[in-house]
Amino acid sequence: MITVIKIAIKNYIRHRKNLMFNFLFPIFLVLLLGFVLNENMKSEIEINTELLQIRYVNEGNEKSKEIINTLLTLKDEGSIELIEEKSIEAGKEDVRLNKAVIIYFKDDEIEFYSNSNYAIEASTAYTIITSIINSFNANYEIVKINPQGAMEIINSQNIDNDELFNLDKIETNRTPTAMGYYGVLELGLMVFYFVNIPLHYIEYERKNNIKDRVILSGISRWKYYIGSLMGYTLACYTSIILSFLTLKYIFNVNYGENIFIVPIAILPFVILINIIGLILAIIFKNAEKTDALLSSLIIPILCFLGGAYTAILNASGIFNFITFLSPLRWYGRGVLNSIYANDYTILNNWLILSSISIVIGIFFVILLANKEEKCIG
Amino acid sequence: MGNIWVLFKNNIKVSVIKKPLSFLLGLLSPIAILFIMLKLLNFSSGYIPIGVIDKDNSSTSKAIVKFLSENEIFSVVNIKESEKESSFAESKIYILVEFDKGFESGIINGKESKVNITTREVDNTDEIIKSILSNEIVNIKNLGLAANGNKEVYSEALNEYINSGELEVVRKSLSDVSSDYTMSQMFIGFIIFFMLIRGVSGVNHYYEEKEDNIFSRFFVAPVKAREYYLADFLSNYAVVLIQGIAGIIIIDFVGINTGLKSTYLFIILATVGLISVSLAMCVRSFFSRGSECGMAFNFITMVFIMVGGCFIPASIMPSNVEKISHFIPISWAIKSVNSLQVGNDFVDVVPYISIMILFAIVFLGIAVYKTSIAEKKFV
Repeated sequence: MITVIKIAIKNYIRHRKNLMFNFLFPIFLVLLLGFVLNENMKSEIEINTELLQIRYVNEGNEKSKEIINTLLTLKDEGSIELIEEKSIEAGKEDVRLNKAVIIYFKDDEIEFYSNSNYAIEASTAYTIITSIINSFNANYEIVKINPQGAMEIINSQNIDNDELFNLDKIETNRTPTAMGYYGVLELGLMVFYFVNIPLHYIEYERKNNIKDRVILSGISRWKYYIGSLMGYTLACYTSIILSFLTLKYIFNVNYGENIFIVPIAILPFVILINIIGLILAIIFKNAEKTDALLSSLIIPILCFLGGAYTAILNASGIFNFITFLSPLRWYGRGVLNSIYANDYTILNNWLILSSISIVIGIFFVILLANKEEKCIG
Repeated sequence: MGNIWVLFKNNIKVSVIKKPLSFLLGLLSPIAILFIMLKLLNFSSGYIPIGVIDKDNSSTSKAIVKFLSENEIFSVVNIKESEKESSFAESKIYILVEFDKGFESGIINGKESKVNITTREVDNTDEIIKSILSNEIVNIKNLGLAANGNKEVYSEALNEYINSGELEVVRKSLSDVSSDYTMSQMFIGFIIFFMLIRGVSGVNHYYEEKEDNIFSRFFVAPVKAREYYLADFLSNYAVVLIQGIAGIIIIDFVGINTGLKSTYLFIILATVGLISVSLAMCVRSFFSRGSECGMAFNFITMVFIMVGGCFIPASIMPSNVEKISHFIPISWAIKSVNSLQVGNDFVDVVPYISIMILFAIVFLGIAVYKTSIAEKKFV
């Protein structure tokens, strides 16, 4: 069996391109996504500090004038840039070309046009205009229900934020940055692609009669498969741990204070994926086609469900259940909760569940090996 | 020409006609699955996820939550008290808004009544949420003061204020149709993603043919290398194009409003198809094994998709990354879609499409150069 393990490891090492790729792919991906989502590697949100440009067309009534006057006050305070347009069509054209938004005061109505390519700017402008209108509407209601005290209430609006909110901040080490989040998830994404390793090498050995020669030397089929599984798992695990260590120590990605969380959580994942690859290699004789189906359909979907492309926000019911079909979801949630919330429940569940799956998987491999032996024998 | 046609038919036969079920499954399942996911995972919403714990469960707290939901940069998720920490840990939320029991009665009776806000130290979302919420809460508090402790008067005034205010602002899109294209943009992003992936599965037969010696047998017949590769390109392009068309049909069928004509979307996706196939051939020319080629292609696809703005709009990326995205062919497809959605004419996106075609030519050029060197060695 040791020989089979050695063969598997040598197979893995022999193809340098694959070797480098497996090692570098997760590192590059984590750095890329961390960088794409934030150049400071701190957060996924970047707020634009440029002066907001609002255009408007005034074809409205008296009420519109009040709103415009408030906007003009904001302009005088230097909070926004306000430009009057002659016609709505000319204004819209400007909005198409620039980041600006345009507010069209048309009789009783107020229409808001924005360029969907600049969502943050549009949203800020929309917030400003809705705030003004909401204040107007609130004051209208106040006058309606309390005409005597209305002016006093309206004029005493300078309330400090401390009177409105109890503010609390979650410490930096309690929430993942973009880099921290993808640092965990993209390692998991890479593990999915390890399915190709046993898939291709088992086929390679079958086509080149290496497998037959190994079996002729007296090693039973199940030992050959289990030995291969151990070899490929060891090689894949070493590769992913090297990527993890590089990310942690060279690129300072936060994996928490306990260095063992990721290595422990990812081990059953690597074993499980290698078992799946091995089972597929035994059942399906064409690795290229199986690989195509996996890479072009199953892996992207499992990655998506696991949150490798973007965090899963509010799946509920049956769809929350579907997301748990992806082992990446278990692994990702387990690791993130352990690192940032000190909650090991999901990680423990993942370890138990994956261990059971591994035992079933190995049992299945032995079953297939024995079946193959009987068929050939 | 005859040889090309024969090879083209053979490739189509191998990848489509011989396995109609797996072809259809591969074609429709990603679209169907992603549609379900997009519909139910609420990806149409904003970029800043807010968690809400509403212990008060009153008209006032509901009104504030509704106000937040209407702001397109936020995506509001109801969470349980027990999920607080894990929601931050999993990046499920960036902000937590909590209403204590008695929040509304405090407002009506003029007592201290605060909204609890928890934000992350790593970003400045506290400033955003404060600036957006403060005015709204002041308005509601003033209604409470005006009601002078009378719950009925307050409730009626609040109801009027929320539902039928004197003035109302209506969001309109520049092309004068619907206003929210976020979901359709994401959906088109996914179609592009799967078109790219289709490209590489289409070039895989090359490795199989090499391994099974079919490749050498082709050239025993009077087939020139360029005829083989042209047929390969055309047949793969046809399959990728079918994937794109299936996406457009599904969009029309389900009734997602993309804000642009299907013909324009087809032209953009057809150009993406060119990039997909030429890129796949280009990557293939560098690798002698199918698995290596597949991995490299997946890697490039991921970069293209993420930096190209398929899943995350380029406008919220840091400016440096936005500059890099100019060198990502897919970003020009997304730009074309966005440009048409805001009501620009098709003529305005012709330069973007030309850039994509140029990218495809460059990829193809590299593929031809690399392959010709490899073929010389092969001969």
